[in-house]
Amino acid sequence: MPQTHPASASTLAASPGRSQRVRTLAVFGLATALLTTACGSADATDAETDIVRIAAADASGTNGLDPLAASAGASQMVVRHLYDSLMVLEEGEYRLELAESVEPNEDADEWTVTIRSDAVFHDGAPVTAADVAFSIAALAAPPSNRVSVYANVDFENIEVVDEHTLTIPLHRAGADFRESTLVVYSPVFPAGTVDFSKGIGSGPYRLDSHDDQTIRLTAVEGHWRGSPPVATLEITIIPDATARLNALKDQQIDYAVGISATGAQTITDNDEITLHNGGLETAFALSFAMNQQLEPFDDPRVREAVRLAADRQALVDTALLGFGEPAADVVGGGLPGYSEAITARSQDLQAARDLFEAAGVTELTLRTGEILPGMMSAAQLFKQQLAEAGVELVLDETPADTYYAELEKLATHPFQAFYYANRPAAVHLSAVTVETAPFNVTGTTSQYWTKLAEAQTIVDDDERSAAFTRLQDGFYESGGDLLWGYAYQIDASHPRVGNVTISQGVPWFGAASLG
Amino acid sequence: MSLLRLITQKLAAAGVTILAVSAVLFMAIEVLPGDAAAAMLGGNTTIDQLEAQRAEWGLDQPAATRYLDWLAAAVQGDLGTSFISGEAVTAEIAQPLWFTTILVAIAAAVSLVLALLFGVLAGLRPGSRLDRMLSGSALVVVAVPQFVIAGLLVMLFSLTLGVLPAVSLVPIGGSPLDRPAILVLPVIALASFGIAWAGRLVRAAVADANAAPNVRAARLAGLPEPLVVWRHLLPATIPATAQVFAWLIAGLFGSTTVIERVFNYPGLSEVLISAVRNHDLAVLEGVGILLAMIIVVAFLLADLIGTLADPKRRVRPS
Repeated sequence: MPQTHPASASTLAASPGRSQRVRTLAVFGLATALLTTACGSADATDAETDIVRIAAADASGTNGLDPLAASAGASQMVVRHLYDSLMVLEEGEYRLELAESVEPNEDADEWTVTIRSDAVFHDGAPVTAADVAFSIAALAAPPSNRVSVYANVDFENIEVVDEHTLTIPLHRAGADFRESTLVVYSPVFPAGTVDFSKGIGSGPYRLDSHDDQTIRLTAVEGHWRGSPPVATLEITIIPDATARLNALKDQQIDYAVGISATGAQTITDNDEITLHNGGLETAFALSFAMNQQLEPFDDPRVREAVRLAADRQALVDTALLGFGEPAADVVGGGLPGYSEAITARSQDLQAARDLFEAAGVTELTLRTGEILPGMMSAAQLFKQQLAEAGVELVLDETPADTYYAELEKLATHPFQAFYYANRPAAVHLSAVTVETAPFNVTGTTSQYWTKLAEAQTIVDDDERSAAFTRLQDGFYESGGDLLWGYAYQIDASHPRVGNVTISQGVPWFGAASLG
Repeated sequence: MSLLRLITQKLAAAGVTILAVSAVLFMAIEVLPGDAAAAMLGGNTTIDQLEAQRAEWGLDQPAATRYLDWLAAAVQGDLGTSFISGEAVTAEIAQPLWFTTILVAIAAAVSLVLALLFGVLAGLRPGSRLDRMLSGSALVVVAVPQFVIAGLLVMLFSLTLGVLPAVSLVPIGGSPLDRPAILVLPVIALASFGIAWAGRLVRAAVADANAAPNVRAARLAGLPEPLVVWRHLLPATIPATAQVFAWLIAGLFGSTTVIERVFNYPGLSEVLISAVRNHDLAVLEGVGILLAMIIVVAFLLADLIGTLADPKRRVRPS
């Protein structure tokens, strides 16, 4: 049985002054050693030069090596640099990447894709049509999280014509296959890949090493796009925006993807940090969505009144602290194919009041939550704006973590805060407002779906574009979105990092430079 | 009561506690809206695909059936597989648990030493200027939320003085021990609360013991003060102090959820947040049960230390 040893206790007690000094010295010694080691280690991390260290959040819980599970943020960035895609949205334009051509047949229900012949996977194997066929089939079936993007692809009947050509049949005609499917997400990986832990793609960077938090990539010399100027990218998942900004200020990273508007305000005068405003290309479109199939929003007067009651500039100023701009009720502002006829409605409280009175509406309930920073502030301000138009707005606050968990509620609540990635209008309408969309929060009707399906079958690009413009105009006139603002994505970096562009909605370092 | 019987009783109680923890965690995740299938497939899915995924994972089974199935496997050592990553739970949480344990162990050690020092210095002279200063400071530290303390530490040591890293970036494939600097601020943030909270409780125990008749008798007998403290005062505080530090261990593990987030420390907090967000029941249960076991063992040890240190409760082998 352990007991205090009398001898040792006596020894300590016999020389209290000495033992106190020893303990004090030990404490100071420990503290000094810890701080010395600490400072030494902090310096050691800054030794490498030809590297860009990037921090981003990620909601997928994955590190991006598996393109079937990646979503937005860090995992999407890793996918974008490891894997070439057939097509991409880059600098606001649709571009061919691995594909050399993507052409429909006469009815637009079968597409022929020809790929470049100089693309090589990181293991040295050439990229072939068989790899593309395998990739599309994998993306189109569970457990891929992009199944709905490929819902119209008859992936079981894809035919490999030759080493660089394949045909992709669709279940129904889809003249917008390029922009609604391939541009959205089309990374290519080697046929037969089941284990993605090696991250083998044909992108400009190859996997060097990784753990759950950090992925290190090295440049591929002689990549068909040219050798990337920066030798190494290190992408670290840092979920908290404040921590990302602190890491940048502390020079632990070079580029922070997504900082808060509040954080951006604190560094606008800081010469050692450069702010990157992604503009409309990476913005989120913020909406108070009205379900047209549910009361009272099945009355077009109510939808119009809600839209007229909003002071969009005030909402942007208050909720986004100026890091955004007013929106005009249809997603896609500033991107290809946006209707020129669409402009943001000005607030007209008298007209809104008259319309509400005519429809007999005095109270509305908005399901809302802090799903993006500022959304609750916007809801509070909109409550005041509606009050000025004679309508009391009740805020039904839902925790952000569970906001999207109840598909049933999303489909049946008449009025709720929502946000979309700002994608080209044709992509948005095809993905979000179709009959099968899980998030049809604006309650689009069968009449609209018929028009949308007709537009999607028009093979001629100009005619199809005109049809989508008419759809947008109709959505603007009487659709269910009060799309009040675009929230810019603000990145921050050290000034030495340059030439970072936006590709697939994430920063692209394939041509980045270090000053 | 014999030591063996005491241990047996405590272990039985620990088993019931851990079972209760598992049931509460299961119920908690059940009442959250949505499920793992919806979380994994996200918005890019259809209701049919969602139902198919639920059926594949057995989420269409009654809650009681799923819990009992999980429990039956867990008691055989199989904590299941993560819905999201597909990895075994033990493999998924082993490293974050180790990293969090490193953080808590260092913070607990620092807290133990400094709280004892604070408690003894203040408790020996209750009401003295030193006592008022230490107790007042402790009250301030306890009253300030830990994320505020963490933020202030970052502002001072990282962004102003530039001597310590603002976030805890671990080298790829390494551990926080490879770069001790990243531990300093999280440890200070955790330990500041531990020292203040535990120090006040130790101070109270020391003050009580200081007023005990045997301590006064020892002083009247002319024993040197250090000997009085070492032989007569401190042993009387051991049972209470042991309990305080068991609570401290539990509190430190709880506090890591905030501190790890602020410093981006790669421990259990992000695993927990992700598990709750994605309804990843097996991971949540795995983390919860392992933490419960650690805390239960801490209290078991505290009880044993208290028993062994208390002459009235000590049982000598015959």
